[in-house]
Amino acid sequence: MKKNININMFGVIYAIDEDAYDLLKKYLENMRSYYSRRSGGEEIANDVESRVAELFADLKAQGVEAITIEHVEDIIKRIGDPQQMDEEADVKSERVMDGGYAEAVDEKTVRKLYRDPDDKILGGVISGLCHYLGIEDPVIARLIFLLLVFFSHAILVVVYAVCWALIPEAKTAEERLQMKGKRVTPNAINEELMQGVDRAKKFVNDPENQRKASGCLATFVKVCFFSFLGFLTLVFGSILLCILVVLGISLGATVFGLGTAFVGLGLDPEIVNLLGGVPTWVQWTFAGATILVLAIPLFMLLHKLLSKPEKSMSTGLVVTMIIVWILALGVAISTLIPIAANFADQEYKFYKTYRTEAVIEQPAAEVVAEQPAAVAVFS
Amino acid sequence: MTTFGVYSLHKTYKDMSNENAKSQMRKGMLEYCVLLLLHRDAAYASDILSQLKEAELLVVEGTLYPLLTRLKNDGLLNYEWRESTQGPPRKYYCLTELGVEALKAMDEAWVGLTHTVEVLKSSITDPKFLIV
Repeated sequence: MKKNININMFGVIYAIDEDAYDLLKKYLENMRSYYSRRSGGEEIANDVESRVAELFADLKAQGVEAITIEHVEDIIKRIGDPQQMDEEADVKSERVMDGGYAEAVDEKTVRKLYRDPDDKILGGVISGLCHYLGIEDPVIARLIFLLLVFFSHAILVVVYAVCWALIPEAKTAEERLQMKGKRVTPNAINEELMQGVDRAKKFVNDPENQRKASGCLATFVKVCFFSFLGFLTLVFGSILLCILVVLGISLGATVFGLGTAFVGLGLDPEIVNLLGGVPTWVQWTFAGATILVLAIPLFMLLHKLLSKPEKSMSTGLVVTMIIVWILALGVAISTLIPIAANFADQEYKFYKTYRTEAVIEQPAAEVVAEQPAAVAVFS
Repeated sequence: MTTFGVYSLHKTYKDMSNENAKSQMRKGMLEYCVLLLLHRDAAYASDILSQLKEAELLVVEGTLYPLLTRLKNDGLLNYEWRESTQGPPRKYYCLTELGVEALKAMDEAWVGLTHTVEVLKSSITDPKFLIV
């Protein structure tokens, strides 16, 4: 299925596929620019456009509803590219010589620095540079560049950004040829156009790709977003790790006897009592729920970071995980209440014991202090 | 032959020198035939195209347009715009007086050429000329 658009040629509407339109547009523009240097050149280009419209009208009369790229390719073959047209027609005319053709023969191949839009990771700076310098594989250049960035303390990142902004992108077929240092003849342009069509055909299935990769700002935002996600992962991860360690200890304690394990770690028996008032199952439920509360977001984060954007979890799975997370949160909070209450209770008891001991100490001192007074009275 | 012609020989028909010679003949004939056709009847570009294609004088359609434009600029042709029911308005070409004169001159050249060719062809059978 292809996107189809309407075009207006000399007042008549034709329905044409979008990729066919792109090819036709480039062909006519190429034709126009080739003959623009010639006197009467505009008329020739108009004649060609007229001829195309005539052929379109013929197709329509034959019952063809939508003009496809095959139709356009056929028409281009029939009418020919500017070079072919020129060759056949003017054998003896000297006037043609000052037209574009002789210049194409004498033109030296000029290589210009452009950014390559067809081979870019961020902005196509490195690949464009490779074309200019004649390096075939930009991958090696990219690796070297990254190494240099590391050693230059990221100053090269600024250099890259400047290049990205200043070096133009090779958009037209002519620019692409100049970037690669190939001779810009109408033949080469036509070939480049057809190649562009093939590439466009492959990309029709993946337009999302293009939109995602575009834009310097979009890429910057992407980088920020992913580093933020990474940070969150670290935070959640370390908290989870600590809790898991504590739980591991408590698991060991349950296996080997609660008090022994804690004493073995050098903890006060009083602290053991803090947890003692609460039944074990409550403790474990709390522990399990807290693990889930932390682990589920962590899992989602890791999944987002490490897997490709296209591969996301099914909606059902995501919904289940969210529901489980909410339940876990509820359980954690509800088990926290008795534990906290118990904690407060124990704390109260703890302090009370301490206070009682202190209070007992005091009266003894007072009694002792009062004795001499009594003795003094009797003597 | 101009540099242009030599270049075109090398560029397009690298390995087919026969095709070269044929196409050179065709190119020479194109202008003459166009004038002939238009002298017989005024016509649209598409009509000229179909007739030339029938005669296998035209390989690539686009060739006609620079030719027509050049002939018009030289004053050999004239055209008028005519509306069409199914498509864009079209140019209706006709020969000018200058064109008729040019045609006559070409006619003479043609007669001379064909005569020479005939003489050459018939002379080859004569063993005297087989030295070549």
